[in-house]
Amino acid sequence: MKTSILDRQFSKSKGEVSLSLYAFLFSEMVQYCLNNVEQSQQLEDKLHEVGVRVGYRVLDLLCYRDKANRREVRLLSMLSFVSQTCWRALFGHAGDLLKGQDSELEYMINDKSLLLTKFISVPRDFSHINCGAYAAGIVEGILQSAEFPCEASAHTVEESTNPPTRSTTVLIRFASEVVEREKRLQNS
Amino acid sequence: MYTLYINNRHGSLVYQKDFLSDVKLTANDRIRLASTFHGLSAIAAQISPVNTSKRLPFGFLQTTGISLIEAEGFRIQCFETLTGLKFFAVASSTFPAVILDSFLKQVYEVYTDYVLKNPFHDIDMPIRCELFDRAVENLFNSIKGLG
Repeated sequence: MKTSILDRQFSKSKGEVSLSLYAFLFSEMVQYCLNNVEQSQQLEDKLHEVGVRVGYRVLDLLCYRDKANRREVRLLSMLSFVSQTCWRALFGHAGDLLKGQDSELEYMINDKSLLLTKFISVPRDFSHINCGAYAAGIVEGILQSAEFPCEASAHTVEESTNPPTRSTTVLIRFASEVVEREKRLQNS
Repeated sequence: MYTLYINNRHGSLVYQKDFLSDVKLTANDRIRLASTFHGLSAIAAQISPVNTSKRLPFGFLQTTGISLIEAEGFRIQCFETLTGLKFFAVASSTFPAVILDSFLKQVYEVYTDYVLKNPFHDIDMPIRCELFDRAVENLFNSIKGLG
């Protein structure tokens, strides 16, 4: 008997989707975005925009699945929720959470082999583009709907090892009120 | 093994890679060679005395055409996919055919991964994918010692 989507277990999460399917779907999505922008620079913005909407839903879903419908209110535990729980649910492994060096408003999530860009080689004339912008959009969506206003952007980090490896870093820049609130919570 | 070629289903060269540095062919020569092979393969299928494709059930799914050309000192081995792509390699005649065949199939596998799943690649156009290049090189390095 065929079960409808409503009858299915809500908590099941491991290995439901094949990697090829995921990669083809993402590839089509990038092509769709590419066809819908006038300049190639806008591609990242478009992917980001799509990602944000995914992020809103990811927060709801994962709070329900993993946290018994609670969500974090402290900055660091929220960030580790994003880089561990969310990353594992979305991309199959955890990301590395790093603190920005210049500003206390900045944090980074680094992923050495982002699943999204696993099969994508960016041509030379598009070299500034990182399809991880989609992941950055998701992060921004999650944090914003959890009441942590921020901006997230994806950057490619090249390491000159042999063979050269590329990793993707999502840079998160919080609005100043987030850090102020965090300090108030710490003192109380 | 000397060179790997990939033809698209219309017979034009989309990818080519030399594994030896002393192969001296210009870009035009390579394109000519690749399309000549496509033409020969199509003719070979036409004049073949056995026509398997009509007799067998699902015979239309069977590929026709050249799979191997043996020559003095070298051989050209071809793997044709159901979608009409041709992967063929020029190798010395001492190179084991079984290994070459599995190499071509593995190249097809990495093609489906790194070329077809790449949103910046247009189908039937020349392949310019860094990750694909690297994967083919890795494959070659893994069989290099066996030949």
